[in-house]
Amino acid sequence: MNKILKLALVLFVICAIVAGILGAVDLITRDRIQAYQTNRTNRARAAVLPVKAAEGEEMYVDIPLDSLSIPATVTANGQDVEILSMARAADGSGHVVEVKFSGAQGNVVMIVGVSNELTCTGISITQHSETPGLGAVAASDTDKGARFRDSFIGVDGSVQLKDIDAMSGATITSRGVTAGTAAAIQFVEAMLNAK
Amino acid sequence: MSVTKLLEIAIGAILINNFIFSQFLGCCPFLGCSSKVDTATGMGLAVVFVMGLASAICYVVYDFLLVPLGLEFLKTLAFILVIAALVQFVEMFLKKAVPSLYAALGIYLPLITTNCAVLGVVLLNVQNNYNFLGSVVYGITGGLGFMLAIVLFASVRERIAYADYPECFEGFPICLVSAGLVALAFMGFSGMQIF
Amino acid sequence: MNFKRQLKEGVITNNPILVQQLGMCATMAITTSLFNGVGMGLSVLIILTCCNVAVSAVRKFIPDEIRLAIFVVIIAGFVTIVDLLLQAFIPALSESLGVFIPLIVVNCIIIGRAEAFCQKNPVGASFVDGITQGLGYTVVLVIMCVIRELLGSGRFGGGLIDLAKGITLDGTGTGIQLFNSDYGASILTLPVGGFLTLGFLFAAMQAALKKSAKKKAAAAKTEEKEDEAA
Repeated sequence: MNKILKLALVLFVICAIVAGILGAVDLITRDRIQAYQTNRTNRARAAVLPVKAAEGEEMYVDIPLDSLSIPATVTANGQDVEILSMARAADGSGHVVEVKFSGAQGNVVMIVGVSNELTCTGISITQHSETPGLGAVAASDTDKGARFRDSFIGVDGSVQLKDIDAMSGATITSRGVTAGTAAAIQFVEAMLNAK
Repeated sequence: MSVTKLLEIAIGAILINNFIFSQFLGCCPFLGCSSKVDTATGMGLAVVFVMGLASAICYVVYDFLLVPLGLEFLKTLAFILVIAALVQFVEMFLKKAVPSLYAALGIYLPLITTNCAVLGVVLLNVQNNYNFLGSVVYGITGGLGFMLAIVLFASVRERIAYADYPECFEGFPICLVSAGLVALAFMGFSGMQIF
Repeated sequence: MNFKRQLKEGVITNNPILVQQLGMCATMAITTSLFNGVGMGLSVLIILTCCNVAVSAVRKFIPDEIRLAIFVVIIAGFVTIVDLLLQAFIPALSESLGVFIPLIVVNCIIIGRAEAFCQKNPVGASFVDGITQGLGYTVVLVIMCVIRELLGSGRFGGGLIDLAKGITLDGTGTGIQLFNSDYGASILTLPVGGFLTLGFLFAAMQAALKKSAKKKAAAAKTEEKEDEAA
């Protein structure tokens, strides 16, 4: 019994030392990681809905989803889309919605800019694991990808696959992005109506 | 979490994003333990059990211990210790309760600790932000996907012994190539929508 | 002299992936671009070397019964340090490697070397062992990345090399497009490609080792015959 206690104590001491070192490293890196995450989200948001704001001022005001009375999932074009986050542009030009839907090979996370007239101002795919050369083109910097994303500008909440410039060979991704955009616009509409 | 969402996680884990053929988690025991169908089945069942239980315990540890104390950076250390302890208990339990299975699994039982799939699934639960039920479902169905892959592959491997391939492919190489072909077959599930 | 032998062992004759057959999960999963391959290889090299040194330094003080648990704790510690540093300083690498960085904890290579080598050898030899095995691992990863990227999408150095900027450490390099990606076998960039490429690399390694073993046996036989004739 004594031996087991001694072994457990040695293990505990080593764990504590390691945890202590990790705590120190975490203190050094925590702020940097946080700053990078906020920067990344803001950059993606600015790509879809540019906001005129002074240097250092907040560009987007987050709206917590649990403060809204409407559910955080929207079924658009027969597909379930989850709303991850929502923010209002600080200069009042619209909203940016982060949505998640299932693509061809896993979940896709996308940011949609919604103007005050409830039309899309742009889309930006932030996370995906789609097939390279097919679905992944939607997120890439190539001409095809840019053309695909630009075809969403100006559509409203009833957008269907036939209204946009879909990618051949990537129907599921195209369908998913369409549903995600429609869901984002419908969600903003529902939120404004609920007020 | 709705039943549809849980079903989506389940079918995703077993077919669409199979832990071995799509995410590459758990390859070492997959290639090492799959020479006979009954060993493969036993290994698969053990992994299902460990993955489900590990998901549950690690969720509790993460949500009720690490997050409130702001110690998320300790999650890798905490999870691997939980998994090691769990496998130790499973070993002791099997030795007393089902000694035949214990003897059949041999060295592979403690090796479940270093199985990428077990640590992978608990980390993915945190990354995907699943709640308790979602985590357990993902753990169990991820294990079922692993078991499906390993049993399927064991039956393929029993036939490789009769195949005629170049001498330099003996052993691992021909297994990897065959696994690649099975992975190609599993690609047929990509983009599957549940309802 | 010792270093040269250990280097040859680490990279060729006792290569952690191709000969010891350890740590294959990450090899197949992340070798889709050179940035990932080099990043992962160097991360494993650093973690392996640090763990080797740490385990070797404390090898006389740890009780035998819980040595594996202690190895795991030490490895988890170093992996978390590297994970946090990558998230803070090279976030692009952290994002593209994803869950495979924390999974280095269960990478059999590190536990294997700790168990097989470091608990019996002094710190200096363990340090060299970590570097050579890590180099062997990185070499295989780089070869796989180059094959998969080049034949799969006609690109060399994705994420790492940029014709305009040189070597980009933040993952934005577009790589050198050697031929139009429409003519590449894009199946190699998919999970299938990972299995196939690694399988063929294993086969090549086995063929090479068998050939050199045959040569050595033939040379030994001719030596025996000469000794008998003499």
